[in-house]
Amino acid sequence: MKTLRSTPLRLSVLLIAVFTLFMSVGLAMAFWVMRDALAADITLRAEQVIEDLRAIPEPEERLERAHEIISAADPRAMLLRLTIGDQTVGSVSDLPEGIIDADATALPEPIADSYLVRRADLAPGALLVAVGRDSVAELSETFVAILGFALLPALMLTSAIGIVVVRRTSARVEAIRGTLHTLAGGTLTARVGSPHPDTDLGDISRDLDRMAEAQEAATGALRQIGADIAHDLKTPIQRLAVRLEALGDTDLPEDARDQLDQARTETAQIIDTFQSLLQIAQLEGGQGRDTFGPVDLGALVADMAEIYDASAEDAGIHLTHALNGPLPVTGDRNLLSRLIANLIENALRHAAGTDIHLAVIGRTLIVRDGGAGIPANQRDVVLRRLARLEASRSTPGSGLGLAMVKAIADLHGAPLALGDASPGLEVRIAFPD
Amino acid sequence: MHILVIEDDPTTGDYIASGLRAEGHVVDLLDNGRDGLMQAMTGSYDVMVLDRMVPEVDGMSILRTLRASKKPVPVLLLTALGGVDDRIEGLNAGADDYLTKPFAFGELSARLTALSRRPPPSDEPTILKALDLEMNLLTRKVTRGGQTIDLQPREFALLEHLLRRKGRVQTRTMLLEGVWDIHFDPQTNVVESHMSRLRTKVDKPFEVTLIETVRGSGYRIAE
Repeated sequence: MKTLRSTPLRLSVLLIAVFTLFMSVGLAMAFWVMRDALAADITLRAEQVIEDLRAIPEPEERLERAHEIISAADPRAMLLRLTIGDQTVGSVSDLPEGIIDADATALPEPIADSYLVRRADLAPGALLVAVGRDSVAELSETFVAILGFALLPALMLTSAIGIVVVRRTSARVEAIRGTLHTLAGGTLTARVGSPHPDTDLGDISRDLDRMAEAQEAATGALRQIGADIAHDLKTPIQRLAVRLEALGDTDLPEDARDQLDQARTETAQIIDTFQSLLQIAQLEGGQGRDTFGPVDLGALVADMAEIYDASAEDAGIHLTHALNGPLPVTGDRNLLSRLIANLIENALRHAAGTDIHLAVIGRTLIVRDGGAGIPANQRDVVLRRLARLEASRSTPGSGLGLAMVKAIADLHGAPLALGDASPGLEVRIAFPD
Repeated sequence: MHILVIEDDPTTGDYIASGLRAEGHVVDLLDNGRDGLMQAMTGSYDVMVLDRMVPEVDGMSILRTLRASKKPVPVLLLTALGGVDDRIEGLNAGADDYLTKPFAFGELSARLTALSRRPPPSDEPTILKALDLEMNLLTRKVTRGGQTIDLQPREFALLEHLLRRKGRVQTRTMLLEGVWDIHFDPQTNVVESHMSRLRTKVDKPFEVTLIETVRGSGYRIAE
């Protein structure tokens, strides 16, 4: 089916069809025009002979003229019989057998087909002129020949060229498509390569390669900047943490210790946000895929539910899960456990006090809570980095939980959908086969 | 213990060195990769703290050189990055443990102790004991003072983890890694919740506390 969607193939087929149609119509029109001209010519010749003989008043001369005409003519091109009184001039004896009867009152069928017959009463005398229509038949043959010797080979040639073009462009298009797919998958080293530089597809390939080059350079630069920022910012944060810890070892009044604890919490929050931003950027850049292996997502869901069970229960929440056997996926166990953990924590945080249900149905992971949910028009927003809905500004969290979930799902090629659990939020992640 | 620390940031380096010295360890602190590699190759250390980004020769190169020359010293890799691939990459290069900056000193200390005292694999006990508590690893039965204690599988695993590392502090993250195979920092108090359940069964009905909390660091079962 994919072949039928190929643009070059469809264009070729269309081109051949149009070409055949126009050529056939052209030939048909030429045929009709020429046949009409020939028919007119034949009629004219018959009329001319009649007028010619009518112009001669003397019976004797008229008979003589008729004799002249008939002697000069090829019997296949023209037959003629002039009867004046008891005298008859005509190539009756030359006529093909059975073409015309003796008194010429009735004309047999073949004559009507092969000749144009005109009768004229010349007063005196009865004239019968039959002009051969062979040329019309020949015209048909000529056109059939044109059809056979010109149109068919042209068609075959066009089709052959079409096939070659289709093959070559398909290969090119396939190469471009494959490269785009690989690039989209995060492998930025993919290139089309350009063995036909002078075609438009060659140009596109080259441009695509240039774009990939620029993208790779930009990503590399971004990665370097990320690493630099990480190093340059984390070192002072580390020092800050060091100083806070050193401070904690000294004797402090109660309120100073409270301040210190808050400072520690804030530092931890900075680190967490920082780390998450860095990791989301890396996941979006396709990092993490190198360590993919077989993971049983079903077992992982059960594990994560078990890990959070105790803290959920402490918060008065029922955390339940339903599985229907193992769900083998190709992925990174650590990232997938993070995905499930983030979803559970998101529900714990934003749907406080309501029950949480994890389920695996088919190849889809579903996490449902009974909280306020997310309005349909804001569901895209919450998947963005640092996005937090106005309603949740007061609750803790970096606003990166769902963005991280989305980045991990994307890395695994698993579409994520936010829906309404009425009430509550339903997150569905469909893992590919 | 004799510990080699390779860390270029003076504040962090001093912090690690002075903290470890205060715990009674002998510490050599070097601030660049070249000297660090020389020292690691020639000296004899119980454990090594290696920053991933040190000048001249970077941490990963030092690590690979050490492993290529079959130096068996356990290495804890410190990194400022904490990216998605970093942990796996560090462990693949031959690091024995991995810690992302910033870290608490207690975390580093607990991990270094764990690295230097890896139990010999041949010595596999079937019964773990602490005070009057006994854990039979074959029958999976736990008793304290002759009284049977019913534990959920994860509670059993958590207690087993602490018993096997008797006398050593286990931090939250070490427990997450060791018991649940979780390599990120959950925002919810999952460890605390499980620990409180375990304590309810193991400690609450008895007079003497078995599992102690080490302030700012983690948990420990006394030797």
